[in-house]
Amino acid sequence: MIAEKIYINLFLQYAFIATFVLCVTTFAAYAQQPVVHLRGVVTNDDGEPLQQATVYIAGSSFSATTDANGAFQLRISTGRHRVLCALVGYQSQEANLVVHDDRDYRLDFQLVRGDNYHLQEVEVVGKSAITEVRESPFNVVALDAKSLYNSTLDLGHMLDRASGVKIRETGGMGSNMSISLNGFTGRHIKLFMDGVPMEGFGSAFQLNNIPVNIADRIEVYKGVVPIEFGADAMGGVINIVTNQSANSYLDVSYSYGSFNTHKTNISVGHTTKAGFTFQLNAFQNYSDNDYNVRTNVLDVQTGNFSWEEYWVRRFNDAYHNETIMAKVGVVNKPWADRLLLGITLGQEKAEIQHANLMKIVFGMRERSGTTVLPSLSYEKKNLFVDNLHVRLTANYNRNYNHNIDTAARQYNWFGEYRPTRYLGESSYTLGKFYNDNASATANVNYRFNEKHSLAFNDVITGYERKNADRVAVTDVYSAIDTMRRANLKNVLGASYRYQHNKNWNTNLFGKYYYQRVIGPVDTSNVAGSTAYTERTESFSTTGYGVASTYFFHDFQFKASIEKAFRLPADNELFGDEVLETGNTSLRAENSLNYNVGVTLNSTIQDDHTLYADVNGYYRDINDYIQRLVEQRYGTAGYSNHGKVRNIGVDAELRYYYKNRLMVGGNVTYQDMRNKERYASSTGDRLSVTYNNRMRNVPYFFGNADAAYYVHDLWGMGNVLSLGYTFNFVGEFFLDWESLGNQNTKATLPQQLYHDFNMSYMMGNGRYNVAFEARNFTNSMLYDNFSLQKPGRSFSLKLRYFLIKRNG
Amino acid sequence: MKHLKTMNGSAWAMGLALLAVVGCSKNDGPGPDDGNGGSGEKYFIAATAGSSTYLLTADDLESGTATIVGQGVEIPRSYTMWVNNGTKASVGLIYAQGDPGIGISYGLDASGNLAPVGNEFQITSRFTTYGAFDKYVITSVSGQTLTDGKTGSIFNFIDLENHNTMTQKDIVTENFTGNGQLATFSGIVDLGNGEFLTGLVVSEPKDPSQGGGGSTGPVTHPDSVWVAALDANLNVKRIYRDDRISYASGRFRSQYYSQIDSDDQGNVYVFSGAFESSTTKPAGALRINKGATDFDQGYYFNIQEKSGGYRFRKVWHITEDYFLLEVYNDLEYGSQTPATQYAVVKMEDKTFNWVTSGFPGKDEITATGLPFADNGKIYFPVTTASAQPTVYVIDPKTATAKAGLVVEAEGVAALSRFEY
Repeated sequence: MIAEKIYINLFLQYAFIATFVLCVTTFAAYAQQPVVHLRGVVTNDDGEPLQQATVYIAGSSFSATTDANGAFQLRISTGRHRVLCALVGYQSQEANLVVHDDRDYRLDFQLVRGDNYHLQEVEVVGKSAITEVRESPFNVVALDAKSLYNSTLDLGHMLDRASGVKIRETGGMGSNMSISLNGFTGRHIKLFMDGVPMEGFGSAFQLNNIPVNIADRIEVYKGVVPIEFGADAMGGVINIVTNQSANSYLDVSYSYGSFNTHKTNISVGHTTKAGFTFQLNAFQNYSDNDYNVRTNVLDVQTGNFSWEEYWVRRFNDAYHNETIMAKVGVVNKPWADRLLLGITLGQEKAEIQHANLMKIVFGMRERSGTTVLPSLSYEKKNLFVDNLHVRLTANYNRNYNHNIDTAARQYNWFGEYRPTRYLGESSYTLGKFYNDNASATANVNYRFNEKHSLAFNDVITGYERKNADRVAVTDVYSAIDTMRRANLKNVLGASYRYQHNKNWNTNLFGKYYYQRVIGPVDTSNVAGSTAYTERTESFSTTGYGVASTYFFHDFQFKASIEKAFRLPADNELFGDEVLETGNTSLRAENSLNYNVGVTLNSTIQDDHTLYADVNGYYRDINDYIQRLVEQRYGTAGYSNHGKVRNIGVDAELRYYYKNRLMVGGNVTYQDMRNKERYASSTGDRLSVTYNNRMRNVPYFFGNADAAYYVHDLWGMGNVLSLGYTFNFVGEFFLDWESLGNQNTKATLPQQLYHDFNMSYMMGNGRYNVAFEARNFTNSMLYDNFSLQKPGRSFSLKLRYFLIKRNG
Repeated sequence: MKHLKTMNGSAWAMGLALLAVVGCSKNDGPGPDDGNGGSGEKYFIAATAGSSTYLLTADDLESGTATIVGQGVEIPRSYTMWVNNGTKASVGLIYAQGDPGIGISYGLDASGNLAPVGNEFQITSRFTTYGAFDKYVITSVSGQTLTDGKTGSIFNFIDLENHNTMTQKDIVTENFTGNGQLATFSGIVDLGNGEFLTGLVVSEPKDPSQGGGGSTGPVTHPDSVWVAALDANLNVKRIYRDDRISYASGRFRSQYYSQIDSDDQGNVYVFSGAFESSTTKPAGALRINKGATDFDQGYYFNIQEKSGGYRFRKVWHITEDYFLLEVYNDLEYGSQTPATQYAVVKMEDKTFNWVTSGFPGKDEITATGLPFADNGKIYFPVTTASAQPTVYVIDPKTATAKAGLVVEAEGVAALSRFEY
């Protein structure tokens, strides 16, 4: 595996070089071979040209963006088309067009101001018609990534701006990031990238290290999940839709910021007239993460902690990652609208500064990882017959992780250390392990007529984990890891969509979950010895749901219900076989998820647009799988014991004045409580935490933002934007709220912090300079108990963006 | 949330309004309950719920109720162990399986309120056995790779008279008993003369690829028992050996439970629960008389015969020469067999009595805490599926129990009595 790692290292280095070469050759080789053109101009209702509007053909991958004169041109094939036009801040429009051979067509759009922040109107290229998404009855929000391309955000911090979503980090760049979505966390939420499950992608390619620039948008489905995401995601699904523009473009940016943070991003894409397409993204992050924290400090001579707290600088927390994503393929062939082969290569290295309590500090621990991710996707509309759409994806991932803890030292926060007589600051390890993951998705959709359509979706995911190097594992606790653990999951979904009329549609769906797990089980009957053998268990269950939406003037009403499941994981079924026994009779965790929502999208006068969205939800979660220790059974194990009820509301309000001012914000409040009355699954002992708010879950949070745009500053078409974001998380308790003297409770304090950003765009968006100040009041921030996040930071970003529309 | 429906201003106002709501709705429980005793001594209860520990005091363990709802000092950690050494403080230790843990000690301040005694300390190495010795609380883990490449044990000496200053010492355990084999230490018994005794599990070196915890490899001498006397600098003063019982250690996964303890006369009883499946020796006990340099050849107690074939896992001294045994629930047992039945043994008389009267049945017990011996009795926190954690008071002379203090909590980890 060392060879493999070197190979990846070399590959990444060469790939970075190759990227630059490609950038040059792409645009040199770019040649115009028009076939049939659609040309036009996009204006506002005053007749002024609109720049950066997207014009595209529904169901195809072709799109164009308007220039400073509002003009666009687009290559188009013969036949009947629906042409759509969208721009942030305006209501989308569509037009029908019949195209014959041998002539060019002209189509103009006049857009009316309106909200374009939400999914209904940001759906851009080629995946499904925008009207279909607009009519989505699911409780979904979408964040437009394109408006954040001048920022230095990663995907996680972008996601943090969605209502109902809270990101929790353990530190600075590259630190662990977990997501709380309507109170659900961890295994209850599934992440996807372009519909492919991300759970196997490895730590080298995750939300905390992928820049927003690779994304087109992020969709957040809350509680009720369309069948396209075949997942046992009880709490919801987050789907990152990458930029799949068929335009030719080059986007290069570099930023430098506090804590010696460097970020580089290169995106390039090109589609030839013959339909050959490629896209390449390369990005790099580096940070010393040497921000100051306040903590008790260990005296290395006495092994005692100080009672006083000191400001100390982090010294073993540097992080870097490098990733290449490449896709090649063809588009708009008779046999494929899109066929793409892709590969993603990533690597990361992180020093580990502290344990799960910040005052326990490490001076030399580190971890590294690599990921190799080939993928294949195929899409064809009207396959064989009209209205039969097929989409297939396949994906394999191998990631490799290496943990290093060999120092015979005990450090403190001053960087002092004392030699110890044993190896390892925590527990001696050179542990290396591989994770192998694969997934495949098939999606078939058939529309009988305007009213009825049917869709099937099947997702197979599997993983296998084993240690790469047994000898390196000297920690006796991980010896069980030398045996493989494997998991195969298949989720088959079917949905029926009924479109009663233009204003009302309903989606009825069912999902069949199947899982097979392989893991080690201790079969020893001899005290003091262990004998592991491999065991296989399978599991299946069925879920269902319904979602409906109704449009009335400026309002959209939504309601949805799903009986959702989370299948038991292999360690729950088998235990870790060291401290826990398995329980193969576990049932799936299940939840009845209800959503109701109403959206208002209204242009009050010509210049004023108001958007408001309120969603209420109710979650009734049963059969929570909990780790229980019962002495009469000898050891710990997992049991379906637990009920949780969550009632909450997500609200968002946004106001636009012309294209100059935008003010908005969202707020989430949830009341998530333990509804398990009994402490034991077998007796009637009352639980002391019945009806307590669930512990260590943020329940009241929100953010507000404002942006002001100065147009044509120091030059026609140049834009200066000033932005401000206010972030708020209410105080919450680490453990059960009712227990203990309230003066002694461990709390995560209220967080209030402010971000400022400023960007200046020149040359029709070609040249961009952006300045950011995050947490500029230098608040002490904690997402996790005792783990302090960075204070005030600044960054400067330079970005060059060039686009040539296909036409 | 009604203001959400009426919001018509900017999000700023909305945010501020909701902020105000949270300010008002913060749940303030009842005030502090600790303190104002003033009798000069109090019982200490380490109760648990969630991933936290709640420290309470009580004037009596034999009756009454206590609760952690709105009461108790919340410590946001679960302590694996509380070790008592005297009546000033109890030391909470975290068995650090992966990451290092933070240890604390709690006692009473001048007005009888719970307060930290000494500093918090970092337990960097995990531990598999522990105990009180001199002014220290000691933890130990065996089977560690020392920096010189040899296998040894790491000891932490936590000095209770010096703010919990922690000193780490190590000792090579290769060829410890002279037969080329590796030793693992189990139990700490203070001899009161600057030495302590510890039981030895003597085995072949452990194959690192064999999982299952512990530092013990194949045991090729399952019919022998060894006990070592060490001083505060880990010098080996003596090694005791006998072939009448198997090794003196109760094992569960990686843990080595103490099976040695001294009686009120200073005689040390060395038990063997006959854990090793290959031993031919029944579970029993030997004695090292006070000050003796060898086992008492005239004393042997075949406990397994008296128990009807059951073997035992843990041993605690109660008073005089009474000891409480934690006995396996099944005659034949594997690595996960539970042990939730209890018996009192009187060592000199070699009597064995099950504790059944007034005590929950073995199939009802979901959790037990650490027993605490005081007033000639032993106070034992027991949790069942149908009752809140209850301190059972076991009278060794009658081997009967009665329910005492009921603690409304998820569990009770440990008890102690502090003076102030």
